[in-house]
Amino acid sequence: MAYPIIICGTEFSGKTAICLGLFQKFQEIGLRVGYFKPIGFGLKTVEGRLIDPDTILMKEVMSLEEPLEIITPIVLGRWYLELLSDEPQRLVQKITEAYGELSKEKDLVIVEGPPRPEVLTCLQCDIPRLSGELGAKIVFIVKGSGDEIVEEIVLYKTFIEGGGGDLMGTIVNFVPRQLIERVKGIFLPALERCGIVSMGVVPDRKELSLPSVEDIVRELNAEVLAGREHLDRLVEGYLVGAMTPESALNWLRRGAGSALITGGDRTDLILTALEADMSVVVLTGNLYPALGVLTRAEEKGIPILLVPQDTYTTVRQLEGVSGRITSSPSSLKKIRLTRDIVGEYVDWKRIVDDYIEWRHREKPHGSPQ
Amino acid sequence: MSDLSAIFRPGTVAVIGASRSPGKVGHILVRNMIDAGFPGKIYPVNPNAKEILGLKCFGDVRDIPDEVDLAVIAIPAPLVLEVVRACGEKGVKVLIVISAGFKETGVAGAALERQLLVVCRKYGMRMQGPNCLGVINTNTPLNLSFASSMPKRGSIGFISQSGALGTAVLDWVLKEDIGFASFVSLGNKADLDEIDFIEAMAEDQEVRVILLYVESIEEGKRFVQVAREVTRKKPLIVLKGGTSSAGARAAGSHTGAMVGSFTAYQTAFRQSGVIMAHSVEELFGYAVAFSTQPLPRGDSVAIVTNAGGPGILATDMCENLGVGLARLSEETLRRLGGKLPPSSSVHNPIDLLGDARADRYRMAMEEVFGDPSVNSLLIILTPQAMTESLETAKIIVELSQRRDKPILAVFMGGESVEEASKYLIDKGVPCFDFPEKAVRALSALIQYSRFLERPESRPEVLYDVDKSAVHEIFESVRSDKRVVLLPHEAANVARAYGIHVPLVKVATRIEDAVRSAEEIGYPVVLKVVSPEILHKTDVGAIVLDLRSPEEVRGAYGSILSRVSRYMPRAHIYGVLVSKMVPQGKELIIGFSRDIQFGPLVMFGLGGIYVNFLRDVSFRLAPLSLEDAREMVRETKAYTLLKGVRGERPSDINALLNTLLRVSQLATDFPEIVEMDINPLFAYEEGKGCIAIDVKITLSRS
Repeated sequence: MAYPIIICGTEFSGKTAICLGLFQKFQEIGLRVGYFKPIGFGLKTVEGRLIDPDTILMKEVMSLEEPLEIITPIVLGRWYLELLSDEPQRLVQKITEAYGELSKEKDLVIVEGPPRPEVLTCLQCDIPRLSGELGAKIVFIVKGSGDEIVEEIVLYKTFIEGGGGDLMGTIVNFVPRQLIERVKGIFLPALERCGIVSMGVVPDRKELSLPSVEDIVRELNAEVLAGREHLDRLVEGYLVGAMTPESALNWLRRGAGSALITGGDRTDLILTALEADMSVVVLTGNLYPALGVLTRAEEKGIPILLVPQDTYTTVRQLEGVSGRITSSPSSLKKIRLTRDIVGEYVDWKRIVDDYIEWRHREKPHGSPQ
Repeated sequence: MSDLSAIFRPGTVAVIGASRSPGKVGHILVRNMIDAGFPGKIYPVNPNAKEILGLKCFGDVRDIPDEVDLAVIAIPAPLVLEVVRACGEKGVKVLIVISAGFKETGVAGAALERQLLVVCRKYGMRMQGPNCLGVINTNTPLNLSFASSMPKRGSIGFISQSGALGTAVLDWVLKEDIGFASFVSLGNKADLDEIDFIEAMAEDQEVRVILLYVESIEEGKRFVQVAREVTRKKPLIVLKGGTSSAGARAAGSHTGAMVGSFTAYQTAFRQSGVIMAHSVEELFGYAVAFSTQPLPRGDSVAIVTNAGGPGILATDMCENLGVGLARLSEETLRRLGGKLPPSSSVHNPIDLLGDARADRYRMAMEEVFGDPSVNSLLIILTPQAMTESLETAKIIVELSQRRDKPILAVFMGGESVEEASKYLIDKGVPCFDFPEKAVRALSALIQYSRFLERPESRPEVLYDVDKSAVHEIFESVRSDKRVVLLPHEAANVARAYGIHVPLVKVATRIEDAVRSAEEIGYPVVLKVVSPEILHKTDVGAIVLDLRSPEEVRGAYGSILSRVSRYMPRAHIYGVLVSKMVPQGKELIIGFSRDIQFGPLVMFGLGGIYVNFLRDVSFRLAPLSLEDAREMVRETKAYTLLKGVRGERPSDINALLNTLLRVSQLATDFPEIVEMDINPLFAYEEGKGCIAIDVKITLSRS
């Protein structure tokens, strides 16, 4: 038997990163840690089965031994209700069986929630229900700094407790540094008044959320013309270039670290961008640049990409790209960073304390397994 | 002598890639050297030949039983690296790499070029090129170029980034009979660049005027530093290619270097005393004027003409270019009046009438030449029935040999003045075909003479600045992974450098805002702090003139609700509370760090019209007090600042002080890439000025 802890939260609130960080932290203190994501979400199929990319990531990065279908017994696609409506009872059973398998030889299992806590509520297989079934407490994550997140937390507390779940506390993630004090000074007291424990206010770390040039190359299926060794540069924003280089310089400098999207014939602008610390230059419309530009880009170590589509289409494609932790070596820094962030800003000891208490309860004689 | 003497005056030259077949570069180089009458030793190097043009040929540069000062390399690019290494082992002092196939061909070529440089550095060799057209020196004499005939000896030194322009010009000067001291083609500038050659020509006694054609100057700061010294000794005239945006694009594709801002080039040239030409013709027009004429001791010119129209055109041009028309003394006027026909004009421009023969020209020229109010002469001649063009030319030459005041001639027309104008040029009097060109050249002479008269000014250094406070702010911005400072951060940087800014505080809670307002004192202004919201007025994110806690609370709420309606995705860092200050004259002071030349400081009329009126002046930092003064005076805003319609003048000293402080901030902190104070409110004399909105952008590293 292992101690389960559920990490769930709203969409894009950084659940996977927190799970990664906690996993490493618990390993560090000598616990045998497992990772379980009962309800996954995938758009790609491998060997006819839908696969949740986070599951693959965790399996590779944390060297999990269990097969994918044990780590994530249920994977939902874009349309999933009709697939499951005929056997709602089986769902919970499938999850508890997989969990029973996975939790063998473990001290603690991190259970990552689905994209949103309410997923599968209509099938009575939601997070509050699983909390009850597995006997797991819930850590709830939200992101941002808007006042509405306090309401969100209170709403979900009601939802969790109404469904029989047990809320341990909340983590406010990705808070802009300048607003940390406001979140601590105003949000936390408001939450406390509603009986909600704070387990951390985590400042925004752009290294985690921003895409790298490599992510962009993948998304655009772009040809890399120069700077192949520098694809790990982070892309902080997007600029579209159409002005004279004289007015562009200051404007590009304010957007240092961004990707400049422009035509390959805009030699002057591209050369200016190479001096203004852009992280990448994306040339659209398959317009190959002047040779001198590529030479300069190599000297400066700034990648130049070429895509066939027009500028507008390129920008639209890029809008959805966000930084992904992958199992590639360039992600190693990001993975270590999740551990450091959890160590510094998240009250992970509360989980450990609860685990120790649980162990005493489960095995009153405290005999080691 | 600098270490480039080996290029201009080598004792021994090895021509690597020398060839027996006429028409090949390696053949032309050897032949040109022989034809030029090079007094030193020429060693052709070619493993497949025993003798070239009667000279013993060597298989390897290392086999030459003599020291080699200069090696010129004209072999295919892939073979160059090995040969350069051999030259290094041989102890060659300087290389000229004619071969193409390096950086101009792309990434692989650029890598090869870098390797050449590494080998050169290892052996302490200098290198001209690669991809250049060589060098000519008419005094040595030496001709390591493709130009088959050397120009005649003269005092012009010409450095060209474009080799082809160089050879075309060399061909043209043969026809124009203009003399040269030396010519250098820069090529890819892997090692030696225009600055090195400017330094070398500054040392060369045979060169009196340095001409430069460049598309880009990469080491702008070094250029300014060297040019400042050189121009005190001799004129440096620059023709800059790629000044239009299409031209800049072409130049960028050509060289792979950013061409950079034309404003920065103009400012740099001006501040370092460089004369700027705008066409090849102007470049050589100036060159001839500077190399033959003394500098004028003042601004005023006397125009002597035998035709009204050209005289009037020349006068118009003078006024447009700031060349003053001399006011002749009463005595000169009286004497001229006595000797000239009644219908002629004795007032400057002096019209001798169409029937003026050489003697009338002589009389008039003698009179104005002797008049102390005349600093220079412009002699215009049009061919008319009685005109004696050659005779007149001889008189001009005679007068110019006194070398007291510059004389420029304009002989308009074709065949009938050809002999006379050739005579003038041959005897060292610049002769132009139209008055506009002559006036431009004269204006360049005056501009240079003014520059030499002006004492060198020292940059101002202020000590009452708090560097560590600025460092601290920058560190905090960096740790937030931003490059653009928030308004309060920028204001605090300005304050640390003694620039007056209103008191500001940032509030993230409504009651903090009220408390800050009480501390600062009413009335206050509230504005949103968000990196994404640049135009605060447009989204109603700024509220002015708040006079009570209730008003502050109301404004705080309405700013946040407007921002969340119009810019829902903007990150809001808080609300800035600042002191409301009285309206002043709206000015702008700022700088942008030019990639080649460093901080380019700007002064001008500010507010929302700045982008439309463009009433601004520029100087490169660090500024001297005199620079700051000139900047203010150059703008139209200066008239307003002096006070119009009975207004009291503005506090110009406070503006100068602010300019110097901005200049110092730019100099002390290379990480600031851009700073803007707009508006800066200027108040009445003695009441100072205050920076209302400060924007600062940092570099990332």
